[in-house]
Amino acid sequence: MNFRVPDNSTASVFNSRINAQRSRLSVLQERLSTGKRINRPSDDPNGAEAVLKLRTSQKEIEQFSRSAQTANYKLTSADDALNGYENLLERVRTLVAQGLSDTTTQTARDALATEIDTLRTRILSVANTKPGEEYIFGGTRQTAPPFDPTTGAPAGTPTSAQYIQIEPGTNAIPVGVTAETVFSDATSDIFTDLTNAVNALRGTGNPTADRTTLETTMTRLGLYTDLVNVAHAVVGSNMNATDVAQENLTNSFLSLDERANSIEGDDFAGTALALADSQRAIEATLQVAAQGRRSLFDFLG
Amino acid sequence: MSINFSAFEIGRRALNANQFGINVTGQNIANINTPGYSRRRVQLAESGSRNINGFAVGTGVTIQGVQSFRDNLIQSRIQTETGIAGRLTAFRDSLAPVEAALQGSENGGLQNSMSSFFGAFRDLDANPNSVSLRAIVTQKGAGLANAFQSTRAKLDTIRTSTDSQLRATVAQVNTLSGQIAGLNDQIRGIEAAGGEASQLRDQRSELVNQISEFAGVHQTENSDGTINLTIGEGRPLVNGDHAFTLQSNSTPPLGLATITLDGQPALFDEGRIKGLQNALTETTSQIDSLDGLAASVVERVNILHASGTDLDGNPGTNFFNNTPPVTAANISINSAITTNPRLVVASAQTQPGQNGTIAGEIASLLTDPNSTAGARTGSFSSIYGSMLSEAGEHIHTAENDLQTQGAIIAQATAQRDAVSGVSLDEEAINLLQYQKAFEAAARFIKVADEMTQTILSLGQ
Repeated sequence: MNFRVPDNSTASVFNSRINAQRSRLSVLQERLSTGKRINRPSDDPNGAEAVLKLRTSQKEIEQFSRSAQTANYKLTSADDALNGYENLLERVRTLVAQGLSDTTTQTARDALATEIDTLRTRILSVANTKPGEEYIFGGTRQTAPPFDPTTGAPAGTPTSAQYIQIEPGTNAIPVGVTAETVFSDATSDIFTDLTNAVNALRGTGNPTADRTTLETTMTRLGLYTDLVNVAHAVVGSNMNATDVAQENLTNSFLSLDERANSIEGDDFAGTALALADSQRAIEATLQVAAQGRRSLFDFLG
Repeated sequence: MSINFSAFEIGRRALNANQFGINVTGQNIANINTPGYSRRRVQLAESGSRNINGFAVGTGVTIQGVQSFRDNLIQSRIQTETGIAGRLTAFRDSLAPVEAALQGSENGGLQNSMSSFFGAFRDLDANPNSVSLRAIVTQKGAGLANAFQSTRAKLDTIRTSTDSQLRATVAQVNTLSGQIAGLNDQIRGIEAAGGEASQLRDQRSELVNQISEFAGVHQTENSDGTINLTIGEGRPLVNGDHAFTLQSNSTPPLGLATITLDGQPALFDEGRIKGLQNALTETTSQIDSLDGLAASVVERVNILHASGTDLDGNPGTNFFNNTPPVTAANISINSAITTNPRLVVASAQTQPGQNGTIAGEIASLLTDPNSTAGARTGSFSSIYGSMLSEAGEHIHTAENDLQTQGAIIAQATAQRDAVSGVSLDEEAINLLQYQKAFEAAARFIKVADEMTQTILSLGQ
């Protein structure tokens, strides 16, 4: 196209070509060393924004995963406590049944009363379990233990179950049961009932009334066992939900990771080849430039 | 005898002409690497003839002048394209640090601070009674405020430095326009007296190239050899031997430079000045968005936080200080909360006791799509993402345009060089030509001399 090719234009063409090749080389080197195709938003603005969103979702999922772990931990603690309570209830039932037997002497009844009293204290401590900073059965009321540690009187303020959201976009799940739904019902609570049973076993001077009290206690113990079973079912199903959620979260985390990597990740083999090409191109350019342009002056004596 | 003496004259002229040709060739070779130099050629012509015995006889050669090979069309095209490249380069270079400031480091950026802060509320949602998690919430809150402040401080610094670059460029343009007006004056003087002003013209076109890169000027040539330069809206920057002064005026409220030409507001189409002005606008808009984002975070977190109850069952307070106007530069946590993390709200007032409802709602703000910051709407996270991608998009586009522009300039420069550039091959041939002609002319004088001697010896 240009008929005259003067000497200084050859030099400036070499200059700009080598500059362009070197800048391409440095881009490829950056890609290889970071393993990323997008190292700053201007490398691919839309891709960078998409990756940013995916990474934010990943962070969010990590957070939810931690919430799910906490929920699982709380539910497991509740489950363990409920198991302990269930065993204690079983033992109490056996003892009260023995107390109802006509063959049991008053001495034996006193011994039964003492053991039931001990069991009552143990149930009280189960009801007030506080593995960390929270009463397991305290629900949203954490300012006081569910039952007074000495008298066994229920805490005055009402409570409801704690809820934790463990997956984005889903409703929060209860992460435990409240003492009110396990250790008491509308009529009475287990501690009052057991105190009545202990008093009846020791004898209040009215054997007929004492017997009625013990029979009532037996019925009530059956009710409490039902409550525990219900609580177990609630806790169990929610533990299940946290397991499912954990699995979902892990899956979405991985799929987000895959998508983000597919956008910002670099094709290693392709870049390595391009790098080799680019290096060869620079060498070739340098070689040609080094040969220089010969002019007529080189041939004049 | 007259024939012999006129032969000496022809020889003398030939020697002169060829020596002059060798000089010009030397000048070309010497300036082969001088930017803006246009190659020159001696213009020779046959000198007038005399009538001897009814025959027209030549009287040798005369030097008519020195011709410069220059293509004004290509030259003005290079100037235009250089102006565009100047704008793109300045814009890209001034925005690259904006992009870096917004992006932040791998773990220290604004995005990470936001994720950590709202994530801390998510943790609190799961453990609404924890005092230690409340302490972490306040720490992450302070971290977020810090990230906003440091990003804003970086952007402020970038804006200030772009502004001072703009002022420096304006000063350079004033120097250049003064020099061009001076050259105009000299060229007009020399050419009016019938002189040759090639050298000054080359100097001037190199200066015009520079001033084009800075201010994107348009050039028109006058009949007296001077040129006029105009910027946007055809406002004259150089008019013959007069250069108009650009002035940078600090303008409230930010004290950024606005530029006037001869006292009137100046508009630029291209050039570094335009690029820097664009970069200033973009940086300011990013700063405004960042301020808007900070204000929106403060507002939405505060509304939720104040609607709940703290660990001791008392009504919630503001989490962040909200003395208006809240900006990214002054965002800070309520100091009462920093000293007593128990004041951090996790549960709602309608649900007494410690349920993490409010903490959960605050945590969800990060991805809640109903936030606004300035003209942007979306979640905090996506607003930030759109700021980042906007900065990236600007740089990306400028970079692409610049590559195209580089190719256009290279092509135009090659075209210019094809006309004006010095080729050593040509100069070698010219050198040989003039040298041989010089030798021949010398030989011719020697012959004329011998002839004269012969005739003189006849008289002895």
